[in-house]
Amino acid sequence: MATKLPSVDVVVVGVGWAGGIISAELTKKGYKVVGLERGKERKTEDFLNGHDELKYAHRKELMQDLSKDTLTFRNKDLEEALPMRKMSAFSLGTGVGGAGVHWNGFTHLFLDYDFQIRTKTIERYGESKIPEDMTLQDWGITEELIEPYFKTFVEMAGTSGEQNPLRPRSWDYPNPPMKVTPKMKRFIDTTEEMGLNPFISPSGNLSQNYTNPDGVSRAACQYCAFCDHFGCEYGAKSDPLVTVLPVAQSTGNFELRAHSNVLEVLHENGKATGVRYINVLTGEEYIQEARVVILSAYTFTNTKLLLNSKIGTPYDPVTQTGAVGKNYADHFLSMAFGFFDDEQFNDYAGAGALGVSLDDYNGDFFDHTELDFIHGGLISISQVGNRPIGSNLAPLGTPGWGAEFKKQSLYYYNRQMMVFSQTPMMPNRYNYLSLDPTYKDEYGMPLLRMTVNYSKQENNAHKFMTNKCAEIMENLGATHIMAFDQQGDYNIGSFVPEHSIGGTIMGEDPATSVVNNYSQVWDVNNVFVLGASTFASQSGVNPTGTLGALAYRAAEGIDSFLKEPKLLV
Amino acid sequence: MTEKEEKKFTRRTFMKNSGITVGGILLGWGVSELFGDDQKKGTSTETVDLSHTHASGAHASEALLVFTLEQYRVVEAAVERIFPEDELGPGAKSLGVAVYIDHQLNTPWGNSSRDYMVGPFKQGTATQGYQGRQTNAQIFMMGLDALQKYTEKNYGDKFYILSAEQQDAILVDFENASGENKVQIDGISSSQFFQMLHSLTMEGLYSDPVYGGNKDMGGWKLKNYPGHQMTYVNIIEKEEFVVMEPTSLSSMK
Ligand SMILES: Cc1cc2nc3c(=O)[nH]c(=O)nc-3n(C[C@H](O)[C@H](O)[C@H](O)COP(=O)(O)OP(=O)(O)OC[C@H]3O[C@@H](n4cnc5c(N)ncnc54)[C@H](O)[C@@H]3O)c2cc1C
Ligand code: SF4
Repeated sequence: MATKLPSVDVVVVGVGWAGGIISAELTKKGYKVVGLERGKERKTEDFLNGHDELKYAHRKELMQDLSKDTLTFRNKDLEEALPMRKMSAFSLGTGVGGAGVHWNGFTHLFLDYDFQIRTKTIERYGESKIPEDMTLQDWGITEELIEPYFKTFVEMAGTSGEQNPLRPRSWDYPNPPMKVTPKMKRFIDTTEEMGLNPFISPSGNLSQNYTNPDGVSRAACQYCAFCDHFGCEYGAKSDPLVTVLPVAQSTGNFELRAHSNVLEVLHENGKATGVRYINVLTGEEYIQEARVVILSAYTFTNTKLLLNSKIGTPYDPVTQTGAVGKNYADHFLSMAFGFFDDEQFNDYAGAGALGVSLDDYNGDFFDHTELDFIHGGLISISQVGNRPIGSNLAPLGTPGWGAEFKKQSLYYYNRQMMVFSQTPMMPNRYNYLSLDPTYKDEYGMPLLRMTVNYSKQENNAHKFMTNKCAEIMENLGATHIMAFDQQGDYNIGSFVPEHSIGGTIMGEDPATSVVNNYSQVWDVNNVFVLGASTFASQSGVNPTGTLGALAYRAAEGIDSFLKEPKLLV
Repeated sequence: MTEKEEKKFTRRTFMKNSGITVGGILLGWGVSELFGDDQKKGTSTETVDLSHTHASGAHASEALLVFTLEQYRVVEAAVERIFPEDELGPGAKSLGVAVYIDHQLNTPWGNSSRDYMVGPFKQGTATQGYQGRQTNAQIFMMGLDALQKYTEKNYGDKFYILSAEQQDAILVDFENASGENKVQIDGISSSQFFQMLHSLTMEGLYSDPVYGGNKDMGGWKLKNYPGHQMTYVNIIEKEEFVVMEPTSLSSMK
């Protein structure tokens, strides 16, 4: 039925940041790589007419078509999971470049604490600090090991930034930090006065023209304010389309097939032979054979493909055995809004990754001895550009519609700030991914089922971080402050940040993890899984810099595996 | 926490956290609505101009694709209550929001063609999101029909003929912030319709004029929003507030 295609060295499933990096690195080394991407091809020119808030930010033009594939969701095992029918909580990427086309570009890196979170937590606070249901485990990688790959990633991407005072690096960002707006200046001055350690957020919007080590030249950011949810018409945003993919193409070793949705990984006797995929336009099915199969199709597809292909042992929360699907986590926002009666900001201007951050309440940079949670979050202020459909905020007590709503929402449109923390969920025994028994995707494959809720850890961390944000907002001098310190249940119908991690986690032990620190699957050695699905725990920062770094490490591993196929150590 | 901090803290307002995005995008919603807070509604005494019909010679793209003229009038009156004309400037009616909504119902969004519409359809929990089988356009039209019937039944007249207070009272019933469930609609909830009407109003006020609303960029002007600009590199560091003449996507042809 399915047409068999000639075998290649490597087949890459999903061509976003992770798939793009691996394709560039392996084709540069001379390997023949086929990239299969379910969405369409895209180029910078597509975004010339792109300053359209309705189309991109609200109708989510660049995001996954849920009529073809979605996931099902429930808070706990006792409930029946139901499909996410509308794109509300997640903005999942699709198309060549993946979510790397429409991301903001904040390029924070995971903390040293994160990679050895179990060991370091026990060292400082003792084992009793870790609640029974918190399935906290080390990643099987150390800060020393990952550090050089961080550097490779930021140089490829052209990240603009300055040193974080709490965690200076041995290298500098290749470009100076972004311009400082009055809001940012105020945040810096205020938080410094409070004894905190702000730094300009590392940004994937270029602060100046830049040529990267691969020889790719790009133009500087214009602060156009149509960045997150949008593509960049200047190529100023670090995006696979203008960095790694042209490099892969230029080798002549890369074949990119768009509209190609992968359905399963084929394998026998512990070895993958290739993948089966469908051309979503014609309905034709193909088998692409390869020596190495790389899954870089984001957290949900990565986990779904392993489960549907019966690779690895599915995680079971009751017996706590198996690892595929384990340790799903996300971020949530803890924040404070401030309204300024007597000031106006040029808030229509901005850039995707324009802002200031501080790590004082992130990771283990502060003492948790007296606190009933671990970790914390990166606190930031950002100026991405207030767009008018989505921004109708007014102080508490303002009606939601009518003359007073009109008056207040217009008045405060350019008179507000938000201080927020990306607070991580910690891994929990009962938060996991599995296959749905009822619902299927357009191609007949079972949907991925997400079971997730917040626990005491999240509720306590949220309260604490909200307080810290509100404290800063008070010092910033806002006339009215609103903050939200109660959490409720994890809700698929409302916003959660798009930072889903876990499901195919990295670790030292094949019994409790899916891949080793080269992203190689323990059970089927010629399958590698890339992306945040390999993160064993969430941090207080955005994921992409870290998943990019791990992709560079995987490239080295895959190169040596292709020379001598074996388990990498 | 020190005592001083604690005192400061009680002056802040804490609420339930839902529906906010990173970077300050709020999905078409006044925040007090978003957080389900119970507050009093706007009570303007303005009445609706019945004699209003569009001058002949309205632009061809303003023709209706979905609504009957009657439905159009109801929608025009309803969105005007959400965002009324006043001394600050035009309201949703003159900014073309009803035309915007009419046109949106006839798009892939209206047809929910990118939503997962496969059964079985079941009643979900409060955290499982929308689980109905209706498309967005169907939800809107069912809600609109209910609005017309509810008005006839309780006020004996057409929505757009009623006073502003009466219209507001009806919309309050549909919004159902009180949880009294005064309006029953088979298959959807009245608040779902109201929320959709509200989001569509924000979109019609502030989306690019190419979609039929935000007439003459009047919505953007209310917010001093410059619309589509190629660069802000020269103003991003400025201390003073800079007002710019807006431009729309039509300038890109
Ligand atoms: C609005 C927004 C803002 C963001 N901002 C930031 C930020 O500031 N900083 C940050 O670090 N992160 C940010 N992120 C997250 C960031 O975009 C992701 O971490 C990153 O893009 C993930 O890269 P990836 O290659 O792992 O996955 P993706 O970019 O999602 O790529 C996966 C690709 O696989 C394809 N695919 C999926 N299933 C299949 C299949 N079955 N067959 C074939 N192809 C398939 C998809 O179409 C997609 O193109 C943001 C995300 C969003 C949505
Ligand atoms: S803000 Fe800068 S990087 Fe982002 S889309 Fe605009 S020009 Fe490109």
